[in-house]
Amino acid sequence: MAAVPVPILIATAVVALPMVGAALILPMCALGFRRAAGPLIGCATSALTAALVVWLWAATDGPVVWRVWWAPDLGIGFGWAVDGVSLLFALLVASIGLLAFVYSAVFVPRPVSAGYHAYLLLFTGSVLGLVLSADLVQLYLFWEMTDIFAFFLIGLSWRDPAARASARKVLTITLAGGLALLLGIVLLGAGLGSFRLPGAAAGPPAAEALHLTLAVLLIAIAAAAKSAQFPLHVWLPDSMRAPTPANAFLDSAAVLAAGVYLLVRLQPVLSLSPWWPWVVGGAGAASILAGAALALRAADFKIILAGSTVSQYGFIFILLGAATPEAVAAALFFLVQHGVLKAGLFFCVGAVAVATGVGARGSAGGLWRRMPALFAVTTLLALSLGGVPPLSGFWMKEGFLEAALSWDRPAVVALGVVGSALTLAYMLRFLAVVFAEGAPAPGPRPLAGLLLAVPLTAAAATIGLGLWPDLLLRHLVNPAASTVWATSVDMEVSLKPGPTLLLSVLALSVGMAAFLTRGRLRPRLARLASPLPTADGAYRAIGSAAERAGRRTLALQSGRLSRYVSITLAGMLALLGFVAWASLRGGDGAWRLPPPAGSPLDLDWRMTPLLLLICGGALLTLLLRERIHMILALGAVGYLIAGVFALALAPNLGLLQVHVETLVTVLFILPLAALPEEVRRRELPDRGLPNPVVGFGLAGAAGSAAAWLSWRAVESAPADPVARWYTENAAGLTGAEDVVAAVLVHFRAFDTLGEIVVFATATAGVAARAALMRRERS
Amino acid sequence: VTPLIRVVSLAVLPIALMISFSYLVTAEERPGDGFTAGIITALALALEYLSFGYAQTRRRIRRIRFDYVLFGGLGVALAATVLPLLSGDPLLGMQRLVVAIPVLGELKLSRSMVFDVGIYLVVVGGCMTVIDGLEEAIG
Repeated sequence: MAAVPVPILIATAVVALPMVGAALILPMCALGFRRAAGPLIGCATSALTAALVVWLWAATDGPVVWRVWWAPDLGIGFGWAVDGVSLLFALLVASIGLLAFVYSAVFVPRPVSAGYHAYLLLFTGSVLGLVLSADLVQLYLFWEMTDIFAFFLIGLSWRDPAARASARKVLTITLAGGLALLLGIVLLGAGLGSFRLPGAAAGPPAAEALHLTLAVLLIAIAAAAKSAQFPLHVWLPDSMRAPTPANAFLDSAAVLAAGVYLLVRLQPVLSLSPWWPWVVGGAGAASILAGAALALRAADFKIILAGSTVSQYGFIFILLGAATPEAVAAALFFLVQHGVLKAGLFFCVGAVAVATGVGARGSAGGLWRRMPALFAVTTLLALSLGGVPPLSGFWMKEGFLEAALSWDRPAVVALGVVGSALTLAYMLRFLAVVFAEGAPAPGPRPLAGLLLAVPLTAAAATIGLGLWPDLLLRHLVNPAASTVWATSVDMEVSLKPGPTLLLSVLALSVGMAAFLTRGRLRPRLARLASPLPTADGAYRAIGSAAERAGRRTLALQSGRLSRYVSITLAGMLALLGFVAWASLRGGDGAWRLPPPAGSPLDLDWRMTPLLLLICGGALLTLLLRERIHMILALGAVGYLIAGVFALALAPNLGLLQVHVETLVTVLFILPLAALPEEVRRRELPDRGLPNPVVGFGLAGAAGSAAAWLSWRAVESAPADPVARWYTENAAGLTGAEDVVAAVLVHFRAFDTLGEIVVFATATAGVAARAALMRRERS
Repeated sequence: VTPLIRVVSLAVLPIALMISFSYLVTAEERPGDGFTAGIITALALALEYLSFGYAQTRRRIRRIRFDYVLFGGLGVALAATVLPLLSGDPLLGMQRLVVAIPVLGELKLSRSMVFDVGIYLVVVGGCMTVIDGLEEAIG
């Protein structure tokens, strides 16, 4: 193996470190550090990870991609790609993750759980792995891991049914998005001939190709599900059940940024499709409005923030829809700024919840007078997100408007102005709801210093980035955008008189006016919006339809063996009937059986009495009255079959048949002793049997069909059967003298592995059922 | 159940275990493999259950958790599946080691033998888990 470049080693450490930290937490708890283990290991590992990411950023000059084959036949590899894009996302994730862990050191989530820090660490590692992946399939794996750990974080208070329902809803939607992603990746990989990231290895696909269109749709669905875009944004309010620091991390930067990362990475290929701007930009446009509507209505502090996140990511999606280098730069600039601001706001809400003890949905009237410091920090962050100069949020809106103006689509510019106005309006509302309105909260408790220091860091960042936005652009955003499009991108923002500034001022004044007149506006808006079907309603409708359909399948689960066997046989007959029909019809159908080769069946005449005895034994089983006799007759049939195998020169099979038959007989006899006398003697009528005509008809048809199929299979054996190849090559290729062993553990070992997994699963099912029955008895 | 059966089943158990072992070792040369060996062992244990009753047999072998055997066997088989990757072979690829044993001849150790041991454990564990389950379910 060639020497691995240093950045790649660092990247490996960056992904592995949080996972290792998570694995250490549980043993530490077991050693008696129950309270300290999580915060301590969490902070230490995330600090180290952040330091490593910064080192990685400093140590990387140009893109470094390292990839080994994983499944070469499928074109799937495994590796890390360190370049401008992945570094930007990794830095964002690692730094906000660090803030979240520091905050979590003093913010104790309820219920207290050591799992909280472990899941958060695992989540951090997954997101970092996602943004550093050098292969689409690998990216998909990390993508699903983030879904699963987010699920655990949201369901942390799993004793609460509402939390469980929320966690399930989030998982359902994000996993559905994940499935779409997998399909999209497969289509894209098949079209490009490689799953390599970044960029396409082969030539770009034709713009009109169907697989590209499908891939665009599927990947846009996946990204929308991940980034909470309309109409898949309905999970974001539910994810607010997670502890607040987890929200600050997951729902400002990590989970949602992953969807943006995907679109940024695949943009050069996917935007060849004419559908791209409509699908991606359309989702963004709808989200700006849907998110704002949520943020303007919600009472829960965190759900106001969730609505604003949906709306802000809408801006990013519109910029991604434009698919130009400048627009990508603006989108990334927006993303980083928003991440910092939104995380800071979540930290503020957490502090309020801790101080008042009323949670995130209580009223905290007049709090601003009693907690001026926290109020000041929150105001700074909220106004920044609202786009008030000279804070950083002003520049993100400027960047959007500038990109929109150069895209030359008036509708987008108008949407940007409306969206910005709405942003200011709901951020002002947020401040009013959290700090001013409502009944006075119980006297605020003194806050731990860190609960204030962490949001203060974000506030300092927003002032700093507001004064020197070029720092961010020069060191992170422009290199990243240049990597995406492989051209030099030089985005800059500055305060100069022009249409952008005018539009910004317009948006701010409209937003201010909307906030001041909200008392009169709200009822009108509510009337306007009430007849619209909500996305949440659609989710519930789909969910209950699925549940109803699921209940219908219970009709099949009657609990009667004869019913199950009948259904299975009927299904088998239907399949065979289809094959027979296709086979008889002729033509070029792919379902045709090969024509009979005409080779006569080479039967040993000594088998004839055995076969007759087998028929007799089977009939006898039906006629006997005592169950023990039935079992023995069935066993006799089994031994006779072993004899047939022996005569057919299949000693291995015969041997196995004898053993299995004996074991099955014993398994039948063992429980017999426990059955009541009249059941053993079959004195009670057998209930639940199908109508004899149906039963015999079904059994006879299934038996005849199976016989017909076997006959055809033997008759139409190919001239050069694979069996001969196995026989000839067993010893040479595998060293096994026994050809059956060669097939079982060498040639078809993978099948064998699958079979024992099935066997193990089935027995585990039996054991679980038995445990259930014991519990029912006691 | 006569005393004769009890004596026989006592004698059968070690013999069955030996047969199982020989099947495992010679799986590649002669008929018989891990699956058959597992069935034989499970059969011998089931015979114990039949002749001595569940409670008494269980007292003698109570330390064995057959569900652990089942999933341990699955683990062994999976390990045999992925271990060849470490030496650069494909999944389930071949690695073998021939050990000369004085007097007895030579013993071929291979990846497939580990795989067979996994199958053996899965079969024994699975069959006995089912029997234990039957006992739990109906007493």
